Amino acid sequence: MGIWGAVWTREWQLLFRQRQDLLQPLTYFTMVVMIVPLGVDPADAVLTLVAPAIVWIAVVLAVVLSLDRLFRDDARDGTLAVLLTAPTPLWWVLLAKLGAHWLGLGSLLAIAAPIAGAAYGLSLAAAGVLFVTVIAGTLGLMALGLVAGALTVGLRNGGVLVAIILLPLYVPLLVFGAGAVAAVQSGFPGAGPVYFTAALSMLYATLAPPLAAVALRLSYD
Amino acid sequence: MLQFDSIVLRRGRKTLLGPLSADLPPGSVTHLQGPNGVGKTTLIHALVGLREPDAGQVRWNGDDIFERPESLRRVLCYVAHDATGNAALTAVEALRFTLAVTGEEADAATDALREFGLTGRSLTQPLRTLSAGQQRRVALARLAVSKAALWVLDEPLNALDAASRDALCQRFAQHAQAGGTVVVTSHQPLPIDAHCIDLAAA
Repeated sequence: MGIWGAVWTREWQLLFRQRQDLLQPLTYFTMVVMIVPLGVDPADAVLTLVAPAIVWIAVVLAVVLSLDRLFRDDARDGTLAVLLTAPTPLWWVLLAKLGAHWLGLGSLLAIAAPIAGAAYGLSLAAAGVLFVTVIAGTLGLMALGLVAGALTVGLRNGGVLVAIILLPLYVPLLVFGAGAVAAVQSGFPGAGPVYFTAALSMLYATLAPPLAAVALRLSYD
Repeated sequence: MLQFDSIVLRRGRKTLLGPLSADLPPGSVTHLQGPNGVGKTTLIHALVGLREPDAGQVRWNGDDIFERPESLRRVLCYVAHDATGNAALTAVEALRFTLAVTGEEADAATDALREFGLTGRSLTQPLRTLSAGQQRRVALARLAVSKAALWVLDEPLNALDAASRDALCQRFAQHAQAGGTVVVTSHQPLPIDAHCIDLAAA
């Protein structure tokens, strides 16, 4: 069993045993999506118009809420000290962590998002694009979250700071992700913004693990 | 050989420790002593590369460990005072992970845990259900299979019963005899030959 296998196995063991770490962000997502129509006339056509933005913002909030689990336990139970003093390249471990978190929560959000979109009256094509942008976009959101989480690992109130650091950085993904859905909903081609979302995500996911590794070494202790 | 070259550690503006110089040659057990708050854990962090000293150098075989961290990490086995592993994992799962990321043989995990007195259900229950002493043993069980030359342990004797304490100290002595280097912090006297550094006097 290589290092990748060991990290991967552990992340999935933890995801399955600490299911609340997945279910809480997912519940939060559902509630945000459900609460917006209560403030507007549910029959108003404006809801369908803003649906891509609302669903995407709910995804962003759910991801921010989930980031705490990336390093919280590891810092507390000594796992981080082992990783920081081990001969294993740290970025490789962080990449596995990011991958597991993305496949675990990102896939759940990608399934929930088009259902929410359809409830808002999005067309089938737009809901399909919503699925694609959310599965692609959550990788980028979580990659940026990995760096922010690493930077704040030594702080007592890191969670709030992570949210404040991240929301401005999430703007490009939000613009392209929600923009693609809105374009398809209004009958325009959405391929361009979808590619942009995917490309940004790949860029973030490539840069994040080494950056987070440096950040962890700086902020630990 | 591990060397402290007039290292100084500060917390804020206050000088916590130093300047401290010492040579820790292969084949030695070094016992870092001092009252609470004197900076034992901070010093341990400096010598495993988690925290850069505010002045001076820590060297492993002549290399500054912050300039060439890989050469230290390859030979290092560090057990922190709060090392328990994730509470949701079982002892075997936690140790397999630690062994794998530190470059040891993960399949030896169960035997290592048995050697440290963990058997039966305590191997397959989540760590949170184990006692403090059992959790300590899970963290220390790495030593049973460790090929690392340098063992650095922060308060390893905490929460252990008298028999396990003696067994652990014998293990330190054996490792030193085989040419390894052991650095331990502890409030208790070690029942083996050890070179004591009193940090309150440094």
